[in-house]
Amino acid sequence: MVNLQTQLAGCKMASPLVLASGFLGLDWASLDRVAKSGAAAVTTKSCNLEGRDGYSNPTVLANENYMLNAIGLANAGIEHEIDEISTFKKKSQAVIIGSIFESSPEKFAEVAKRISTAKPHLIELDLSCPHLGGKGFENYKDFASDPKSISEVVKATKKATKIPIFAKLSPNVPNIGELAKAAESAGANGITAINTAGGMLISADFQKPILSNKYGGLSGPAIKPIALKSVYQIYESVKIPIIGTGGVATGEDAIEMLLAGAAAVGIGTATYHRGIEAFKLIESEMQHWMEKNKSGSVKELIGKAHE
Amino acid sequence: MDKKFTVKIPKAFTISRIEVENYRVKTFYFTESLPSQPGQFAMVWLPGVDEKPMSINSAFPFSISFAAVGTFSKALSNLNVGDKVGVSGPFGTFFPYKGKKVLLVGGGYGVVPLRFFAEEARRKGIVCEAIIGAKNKKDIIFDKRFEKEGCKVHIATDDGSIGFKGTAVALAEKLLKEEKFDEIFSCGPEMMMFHLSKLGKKLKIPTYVSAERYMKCAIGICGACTLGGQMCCRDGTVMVSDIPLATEDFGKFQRDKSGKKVKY
Ligand SMILES: Cc1cc2nc3c(=O)[nH]c(=O)nc-3n(C[C@H](O)[C@H](O)[C@H](O)COP(=O)(O)OP(=O)(O)OC[C@H]3O[C@@H](n4cnc5c(N)ncnc54)[C@H](O)[C@@H]3O)c2cc1C
Ligand SMILES: Cc1cc2nc3c(=O)[nH]c(=O)nc-3n(C[C@H](O)[C@H](O)[C@H](O)COP(=O)(O)O)c2cc1C
Ligand code: FES
Repeated sequence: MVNLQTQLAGCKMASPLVLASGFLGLDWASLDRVAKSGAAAVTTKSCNLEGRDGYSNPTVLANENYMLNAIGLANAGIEHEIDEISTFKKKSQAVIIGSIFESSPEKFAEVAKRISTAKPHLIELDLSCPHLGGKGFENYKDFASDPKSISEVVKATKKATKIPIFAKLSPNVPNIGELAKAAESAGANGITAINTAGGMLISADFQKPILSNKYGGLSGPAIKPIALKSVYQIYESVKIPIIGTGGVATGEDAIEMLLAGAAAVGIGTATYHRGIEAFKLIESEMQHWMEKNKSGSVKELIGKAHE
Repeated sequence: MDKKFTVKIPKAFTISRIEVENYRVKTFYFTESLPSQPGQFAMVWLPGVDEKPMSINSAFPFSISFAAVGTFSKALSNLNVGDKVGVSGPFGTFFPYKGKKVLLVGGGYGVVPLRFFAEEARRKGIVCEAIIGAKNKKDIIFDKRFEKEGCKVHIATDDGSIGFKGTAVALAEKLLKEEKFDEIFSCGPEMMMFHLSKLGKKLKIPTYVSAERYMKCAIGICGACTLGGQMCCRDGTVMVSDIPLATEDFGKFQRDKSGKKVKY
């Protein structure tokens, strides 16, 4: 029997499969459904202090190879998030990761402090939403492209909470390893990588960009090579665990992510291509692969491509 | 891989014919077709304005019916024959072809998918009767269209300006005492569907509703349209009423663009 168990900053997980932030994460009932469908951990939709309406439609485009989104971090705000996480914790044993974002290190710390009252197992810092704008975010600059900014946010949030902090990084940078190093040195307990890669689609029919925000973030099978490279580089740079995310659609993709150095595997866009059943399907494909390749545990696969 | 997803990238569809249904509702017919089933919806994109879900009124050719009530629908209403809109879909579930005699209960634009069902049902030998509910006589649409599909039509208005005076649900209760139906299909305001679901449960008649929430992605991933963990855009909109009735949400609250709860 193969062993799919893994660990993330002291959290025991039945398998490495984690629901990525932004997918079905608005209410406890959706998260509970995903957990029941085989995700060992679920990440909430990123939230901030006040909440946001997000951008107008079209916000999400998708085909068999990729998804492009500019939801614009729509969320109902921290008070609402605390309610949903607290309810989830009463209903489910699964690991829950509270994802947060804000426009300054101080505000990041404030959301981290507030969300901690709902006791999520881990907190993820969304440092890297591409093209954020709107009320309160007029001068927003991506924290994830600058080691100093990453370090400031991680330090501020570490002071505000005892819950382990994961820093979520963007692939839209020259050297992601350095940025992961900055997060680790500032005290981060883990890294999530990657967020979406910048992209856009133009309609030839209308001769216009399709997303109302013009630019968006690319996810799904098309970004798997970018995600693998990022996780591989991060693994070379830091000791803390990595939630490897980006383009995982099959059990074999998940195994590749472990081999690159991930301790857990984030799954988002696959819920579009394969439905919520994606978690069960990927889990059984991983089991098959491990049996066939005489691999007894997840632990022995983590980072093996580096040997 | 198990292909269950619908590509969501809009294609240009050209308006070929416009019919005016009443003082604010129009039907647009397009040059193009969209193979689909009654109850499914399309995302309609007006570049520079917005993109919104619209029930499919017919598949061959594709058509939609809509009320000019706000920014998007008024802009849509201003278009002319020859103009183009972006269309993607079809999305969501559809009404099943199971019973031999079905009661259709529609309010507002809810009549749109029910009319599409009546058209398909007729070909399959399923008998339909339709209840159309509205505030006032001037808001009744599609009565002639249902008749054209061979349906007996019953009208309910809140003010009694035409037909039965009272709600569509009250009229359904009356009708269900007099006649036997295998199923109830409903689309319209949530409170109407909520009370109808409870009625169907009481009378042990399988009831299907078209549950709607604010929609963004239309492909079941963003979570905006959650109804107690069911994504209306992918697990619905058509659901057997036990599913929404089992949630804490149905008939109680919906969610705004940010995801905040808004009470009914
Ligand atoms: C699955 C699904 C299918 C839909 N199918 C149709 C359809 O076939 N035809 C259609 O007209 N609309 C349909 N809608 C509603 C449609 O997507 C838009 O919400 C509607 O066109 C209003 O958008 P707007 O920007 O013009 O107005 P908004 O600014 O969003 O709304 C203006 C005001 O009108 C009210 N309102 C919204 N829709 C209606 C309506 N249809 N009748 C009366 N008042 C309304 C709102 O509550 C608000 O107070 C559907 C929605 C969903 C989720
Ligand atoms: C519609 C959508 C919304 C997303 N929202 C968030 C978010 O709120 N916070 C965040 O950190 N990442 C968000 N992401 C990024 C995902 O969590 C993930 O990093 C990315 O999609 C790559 O994984 P995938 O290829 O498995 O989807 C979002 C992605 C999509 C497609
Ligand atoms: S609209 Fe995104 S999940 Fe339904």
